[in-house]
Amino acid sequence: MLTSELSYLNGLINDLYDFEEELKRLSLKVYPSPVLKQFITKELIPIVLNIRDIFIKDKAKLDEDPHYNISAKTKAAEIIWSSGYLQHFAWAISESNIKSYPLEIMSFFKDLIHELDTSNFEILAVPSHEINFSFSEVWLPLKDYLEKNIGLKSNNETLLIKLTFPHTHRHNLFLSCIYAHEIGHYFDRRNDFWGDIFTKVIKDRFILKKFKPILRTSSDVDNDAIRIVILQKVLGSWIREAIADCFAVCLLGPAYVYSTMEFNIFSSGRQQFHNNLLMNIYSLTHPPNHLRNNFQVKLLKELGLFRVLNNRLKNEITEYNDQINKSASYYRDSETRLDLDDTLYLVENKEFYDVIEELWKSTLTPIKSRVKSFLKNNVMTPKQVEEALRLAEERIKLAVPPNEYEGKAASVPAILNAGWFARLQYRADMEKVLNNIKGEKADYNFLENLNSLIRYALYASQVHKRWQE
Amino acid sequence: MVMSILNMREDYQINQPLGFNTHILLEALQKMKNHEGLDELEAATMKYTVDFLSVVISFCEGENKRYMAGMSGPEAFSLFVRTLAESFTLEGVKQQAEDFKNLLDTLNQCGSISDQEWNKLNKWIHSLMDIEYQWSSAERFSRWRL
Repeated sequence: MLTSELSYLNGLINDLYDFEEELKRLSLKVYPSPVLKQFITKELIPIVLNIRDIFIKDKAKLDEDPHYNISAKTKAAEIIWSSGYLQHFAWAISESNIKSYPLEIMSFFKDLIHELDTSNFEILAVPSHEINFSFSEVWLPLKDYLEKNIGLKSNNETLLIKLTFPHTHRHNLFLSCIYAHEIGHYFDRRNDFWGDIFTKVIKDRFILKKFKPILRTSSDVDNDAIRIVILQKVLGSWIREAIADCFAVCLLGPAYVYSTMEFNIFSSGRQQFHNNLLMNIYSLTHPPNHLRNNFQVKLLKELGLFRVLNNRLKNEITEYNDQINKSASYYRDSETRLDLDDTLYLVENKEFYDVIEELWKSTLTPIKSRVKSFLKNNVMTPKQVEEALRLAEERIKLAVPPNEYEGKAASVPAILNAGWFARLQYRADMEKVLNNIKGEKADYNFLENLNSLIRYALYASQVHKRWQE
Repeated sequence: MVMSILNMREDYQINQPLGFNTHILLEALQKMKNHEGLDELEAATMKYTVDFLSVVISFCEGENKRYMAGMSGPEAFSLFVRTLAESFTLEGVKQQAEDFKNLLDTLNQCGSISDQEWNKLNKWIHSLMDIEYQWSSAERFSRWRL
């Protein structure tokens, strides 16, 4: 057995036969939906056959002439297969599971995509085994990639939005507001908000003079182009996070801020647990928690959503904000190799992040204006927060689902906020109504009961809304 | 070699593909140099490459244009900088992108460029090839179980 072009092509061809069989089996699953089934049979399988055909043709030529030069198209097709793009796409469909689908909250986001983007889409709900949410469109980049690399065209313009969510928290509506952040990333990618904002920042040449990252390198590479590449990687990522946060705060108001606070207990609470130390970690991909929380709180105030909260609810936010702002800042102070050059290392220290932080803060105003104008009348209003306060007090406190407000279907942002307001204020009141909030399991049972009320309200309000329309 | 979708790791992230294939681009250039006609994909690849360089140039001029689904101006710029052997100012990067674009245009129109220009273009495309290869194979063996 020898490693040769022929033996490699043989392996690839066999893989593609195997993959085709897997796709055929996948198309027989009860779920995917008819749309997904069509994607498999009308798009994916023909793509696989096409790529395999490219390989088979060159294999036949190699069989005839061992000195035959593999064609450019075959190499292009190999790169597509090796990239794992197609397999990833199929994997997302194979993992979609209607039983795990967080249906109630997703209907809200579906309506939003329908209103702000397109009605031609399908959601692939993919449960994950870690506490992680993500939202991305997977078909159009693949379609574009196939057309540009091997000339394979498709007329299918349906968006396939892959949503991953923590399987164990699929019905946890207190964490579900994080979806709003992820869908913010989705809209950003679709509209390239971050690219526009980043490009405007870079247009100011003074910034490039000011930003002088410490680079450990064997040659002199301290120049504008390298600086922009570093900024694109770090500031670009931070801008994307700010856009997603801004989107979520504008859409869901205080509920999103409480959700991120809860999420951070999962993500950074472990440090406190083991080391009695809460840290604001500066990283290349995300702004530290205190900067994000400061931005969220400031935005809540600017939207007038903080003002209408009562003191108890305000304190929950300000106490958390004080705590993380007093936490220690953590910089890796190590050297990260840049993918520009093997000899080029970036020093991630305080000095570096101070400049990133300053630049990032300068982008927050354009981010807010861009997101608000995109969301139009979907930006949460103080009136909706007041509605949520009343729903919490007049309904949830008495263990009644908050699906209706003054004879009309309550809005999803109001219901989610009402859930948080009740959780933070009315546990004792609910204990009087519900008799299972006692003993060791009291906290768990309380949240389960509350969560059920919110889930029911989301479902019922959507039915109610249809009747209203 | 058994590659099953069932063995795929969940956390695989799709990085940024280049947006055109370098092997096809190189073959197209060779054909133009030999005054041979291009097929549909080769002609399209020439256009995609010019489009890619135009997006880089626009970014250098302070304008963000999208190159393909998923790639914005700053990303195209970063990708392009990775293919340059020397270090440059922003204007220098723009000049390089314009030079390559002009070379492609000249080849497209006249079918000939000087040997020095040909070598320059060739070297750049091979740098792109390295990036393309790294992109397609970076996570391959961590993604699959053999």
